[in-house]
Amino acid sequence: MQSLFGGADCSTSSNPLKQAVQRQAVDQSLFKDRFAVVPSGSARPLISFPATQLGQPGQVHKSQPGRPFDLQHLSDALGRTSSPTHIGYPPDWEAKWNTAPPRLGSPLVHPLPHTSPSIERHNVQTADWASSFNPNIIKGKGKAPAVEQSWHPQPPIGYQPRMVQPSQSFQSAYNPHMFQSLPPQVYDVKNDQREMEAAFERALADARANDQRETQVAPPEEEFREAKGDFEAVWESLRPEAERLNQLAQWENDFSQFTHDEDDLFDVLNDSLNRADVGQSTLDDQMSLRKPVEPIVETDRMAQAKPYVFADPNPYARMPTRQARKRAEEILETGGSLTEAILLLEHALQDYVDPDPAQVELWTMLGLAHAMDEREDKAMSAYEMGRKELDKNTSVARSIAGKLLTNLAISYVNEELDLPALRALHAHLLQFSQAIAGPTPTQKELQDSQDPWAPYQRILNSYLSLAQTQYAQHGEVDPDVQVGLGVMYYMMNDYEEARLCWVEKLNRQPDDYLMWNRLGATLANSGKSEEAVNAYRRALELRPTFTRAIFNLGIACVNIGVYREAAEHFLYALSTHPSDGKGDSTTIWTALRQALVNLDMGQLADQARPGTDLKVFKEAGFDF
Amino acid sequence: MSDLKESGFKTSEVLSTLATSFDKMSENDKKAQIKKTNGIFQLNIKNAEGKEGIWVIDLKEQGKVTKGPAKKPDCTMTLSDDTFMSLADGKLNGQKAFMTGALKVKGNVMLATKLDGVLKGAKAKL
Repeated sequence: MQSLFGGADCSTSSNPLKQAVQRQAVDQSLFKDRFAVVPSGSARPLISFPATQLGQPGQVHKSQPGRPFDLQHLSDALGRTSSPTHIGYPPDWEAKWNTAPPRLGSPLVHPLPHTSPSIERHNVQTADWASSFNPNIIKGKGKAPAVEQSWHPQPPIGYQPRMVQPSQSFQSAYNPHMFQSLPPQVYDVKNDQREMEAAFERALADARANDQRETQVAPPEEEFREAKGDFEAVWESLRPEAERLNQLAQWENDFSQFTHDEDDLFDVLNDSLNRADVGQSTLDDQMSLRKPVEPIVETDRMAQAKPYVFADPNPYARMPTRQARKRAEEILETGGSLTEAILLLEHALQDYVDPDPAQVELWTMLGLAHAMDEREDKAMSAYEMGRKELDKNTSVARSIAGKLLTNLAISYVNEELDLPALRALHAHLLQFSQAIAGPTPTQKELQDSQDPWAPYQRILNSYLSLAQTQYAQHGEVDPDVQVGLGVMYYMMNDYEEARLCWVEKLNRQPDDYLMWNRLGATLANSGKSEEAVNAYRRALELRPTFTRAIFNLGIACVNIGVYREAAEHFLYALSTHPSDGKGDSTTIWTALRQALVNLDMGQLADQARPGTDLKVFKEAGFDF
Repeated sequence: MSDLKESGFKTSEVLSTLATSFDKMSENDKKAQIKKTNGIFQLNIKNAEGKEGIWVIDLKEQGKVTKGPAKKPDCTMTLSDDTFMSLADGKLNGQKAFMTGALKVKGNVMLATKLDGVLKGAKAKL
């Protein structure tokens, strides 16, 4: 939705704001304008990361052209726009608010909680922050209890993702750096976030704690609380809206509880279904590439993954295949040119003539490399090839099969191919047991007028009960099951729950750059592009050549409304692809075209298609 | 695209923005979007005052948003202005709206599961 709002704000030539954007890479007024107009959550300028710290060019990617990642100016702009919020509110704040001119009142009073920062923003006073601070409010609700509360929707049985931490550890683990590089007041902006943000921060803090560069002292706790208290005051004044929202949240809670309570019933149901399922054709028969056109091309548009086409000639053709594989693994583990990794993997794969379990892993790696390189078609082809091998080999380790199938599902989800995605996840569940997986999702189910979401819910429930069982038995959940769960929530547009799944994974593995990108994408698609930027940035710190994260960063910029930035990110993403013009970078070209159209550069937009030399855009003044 | 707007309907703001983004798309991009969705959505929106407004998102033939009922909608959705906004903002998911009766769907219900993708111009990728 953000992109749509963005489009409205500054897409017409008559809009003076737009011209301002063209002159300046970052234009604050654009944001302000958005805050005033947009009646939704986009008004939230989150600064999860201290901009000063992350934006420092060359910290991690010195060797990279700094600019595409150098978001200093962007985050500065976000910071600036939001900074007035941090200044306190005089006692007569509420009165002022009540008498605020209609310009403030009408577009902003939206019965949703996120508007509160924007309301604040327009009522800021330059009074001293501290003087307006009311010490009585210090004891306002802390974040930690809220964190725990928010887990209620999780199934009460066994499965307890290890994300929730006691508040003390939250405080102590919180990286000091964040407090030092930003004024403490910044945190009152964040208070309008829902409870789980605390956990998100913790993940960031963990990640940061690993970083040797950071050795600074803990912040004064009081300041943090003050910020909270201040927020509480404002929140109190907005109580009617808050209450409305609480009701909604409560209702959602109840609903989740209700759906999770059904789990047991569902298991029973599943068992009975499975008996009837015995005689059905196997998943292999239904989905196999050996019968390419069959069930996949049902009434819904279902792209069939194309057979994988190897690059020819391959510059690494002379390298011993074992060495090629090793080098490719190194690149994927430590970062480097994805194009190179792809060629190496392709070369390594050509070594196999007979079915071999090792191929499954290679295809999975190849698919992942393509997905990271923002070439979804290629990724899907590679994963499907891997799946073909998987079907031939029963001896493939479950972890490899799980990685293959969940990532295949993610590729389908990205292309909005829901049925194949559901089937890939179902195949993943089959790796555990038929009883858990239940029947294969069908097109017919998706067209059920009673509940077209039923197959989604069914697979989701399967994942939930699997996760519960695993947690009860081993005290932890298979990472692929965690991913499957997250993907299911994401598919059902339950972005909050999806986010929790990624955050949980990040808590265990703060360096999981794929997960940082997924977190970002989930935030962006739920209308929180400003927050998403931070997650992408983290992914790119870990893997500067992560083309998909660069692409997503561009999308976030489009959503925020900074089209020039967006275009530069897309151009940079394109520059990492070899210019073979074979059309497998089409999504990036399409996105670039949209950004250029929004910049009123129609002529240039016409040239933005596969095969065009990127020099054209350099000459047009784009810096990438 | 101001003709799409109707006071008292927040939905109309979203839809007119959507219409603008369709207008700006190149023919090929529009075709791709149409191929991807392939459906005509009719939205019957009831606002807070109890007034009903009807809009149509055509992503099957022309790729545009219009006001007034469609000749042959594939999928007709009846919902309140507020519900639409919550769906559009990602604060409510379609299933919940559907299961609680806040969203009623006639015709090809599967299209209802695609509404989110339609309303989001550019989607980030996992």
